Amino acid sequence: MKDQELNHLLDESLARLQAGETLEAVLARNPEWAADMRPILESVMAVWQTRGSDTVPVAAMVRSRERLLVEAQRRRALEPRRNPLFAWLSNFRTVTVSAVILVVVLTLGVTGLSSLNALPGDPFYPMKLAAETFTLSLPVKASVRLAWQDSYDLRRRQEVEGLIGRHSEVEVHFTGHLTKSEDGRWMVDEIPLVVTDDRIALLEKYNGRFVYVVADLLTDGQAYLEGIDTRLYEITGEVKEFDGASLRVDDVTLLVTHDTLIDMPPTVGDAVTVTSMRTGDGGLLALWIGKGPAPQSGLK
Amino acid sequence: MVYTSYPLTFEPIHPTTADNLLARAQALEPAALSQIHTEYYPAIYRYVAYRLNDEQLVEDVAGEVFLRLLDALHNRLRPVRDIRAWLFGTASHLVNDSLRNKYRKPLETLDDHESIPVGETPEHIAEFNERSAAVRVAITALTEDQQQVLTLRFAMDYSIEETAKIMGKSIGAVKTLQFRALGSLRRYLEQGAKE
Repeated sequence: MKDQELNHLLDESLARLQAGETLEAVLARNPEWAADMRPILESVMAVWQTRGSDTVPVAAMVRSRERLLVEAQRRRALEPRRNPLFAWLSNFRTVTVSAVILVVVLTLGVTGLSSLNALPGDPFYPMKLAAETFTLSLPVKASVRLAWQDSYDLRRRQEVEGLIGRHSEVEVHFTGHLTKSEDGRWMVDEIPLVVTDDRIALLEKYNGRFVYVVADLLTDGQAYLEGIDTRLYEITGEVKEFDGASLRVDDVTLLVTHDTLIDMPPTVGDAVTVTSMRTGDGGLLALWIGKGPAPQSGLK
Repeated sequence: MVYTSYPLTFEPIHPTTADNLLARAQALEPAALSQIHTEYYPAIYRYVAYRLNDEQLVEDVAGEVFLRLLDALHNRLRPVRDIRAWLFGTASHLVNDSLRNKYRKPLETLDDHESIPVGETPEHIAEFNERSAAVRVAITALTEDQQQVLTLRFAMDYSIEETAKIMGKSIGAVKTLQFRALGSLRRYLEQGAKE
């Protein structure tokens, strides 16, 4: 008997069992297959019998809901306030690139080079971020966008170093490798972190990773940790190669492991979006691969 | 690799409403997150409860599923297109991790679960516990996909179509998987009975 026919017979038998027929009565309807179907249906009945209660503890549900909402509230509180111009540019980049180019060129013309040297807390700093965001939305190769992103990450760290030199107290966002020194101090590259005890377990989890950090700089040159996460890269483009262990999207190669979540197996020529993180050797590890039309911004 | 899918056509909530809900949840709007939690927590809890059978661990894992959802919505680590499929996929991964780590308590600790019919004798209860434990042990010997399909189909009572959408597989593939899972389960049950 083919699988298809067996599946059809199983469907019928399950429906009859659910309708209240006994196992013997169901098997008697197709005696020629009774020997094959009996163990299968007995397995189903065994699972049914161990289903347990449909009751969900209200207290557990309430606790879970509270944790979810408290965590959401904490994250909302940590979210950087978006500059209105930044938001405006983001919204319009899919509408017309040329219009945004005009706005950025004009705006940069007005603000001049001062914005390029601006540091967090300076009036022109949001303009600097907006210009960077704009360049990342340009239709360039994924490797170029990745290089730009790296240079902006480096710029963020240099800004923090500049602020430390000024003994500034300001919120900063930067990236780097999280490490723990022998005396137990946490650092992101050369920037020392001030960490509360409740964050230690979290930092242990991220130890050694290339991370994204939100912190408040203190006048003593340390950064009081507010939030941390793995630095993620979203890469979009066309699949050039995929052999199960590595994936090439445009001109960027990513490592694929058994932990990579794959929406649908990518094939050459597909448009894909890949969420990835840095590996220890500076490569990219694919965390999630999805098909679909590539957004205009390849790397965010 | 773990193959997942996020079908666009299946939503317990009206698609337009679901899109709107997702957008509001991505903005961490409390009402939207609360609505998602209320809608899906019971099913996720039951799913995890069937596979782990440890009340405290079940609560931890079910709660973690929703915190992971918050992560995904907020950080866009794993795009969420179908909330239910995403939640079950994540629950499955967390349960499998938990089983792999042998984090859960031994099956022998199967306690006086509320599913035992009122009025049963101690002998019946003991027999029920023994049978339940045997089935659960046998299920854990199956492949992850097989465990997932049996749990969704026969412990959660999802239809073939719903199971296919949650698992991101075709209906035919789920039917075949289901059939093989049942066959394997039977063999493991027989093997367990002989030991």
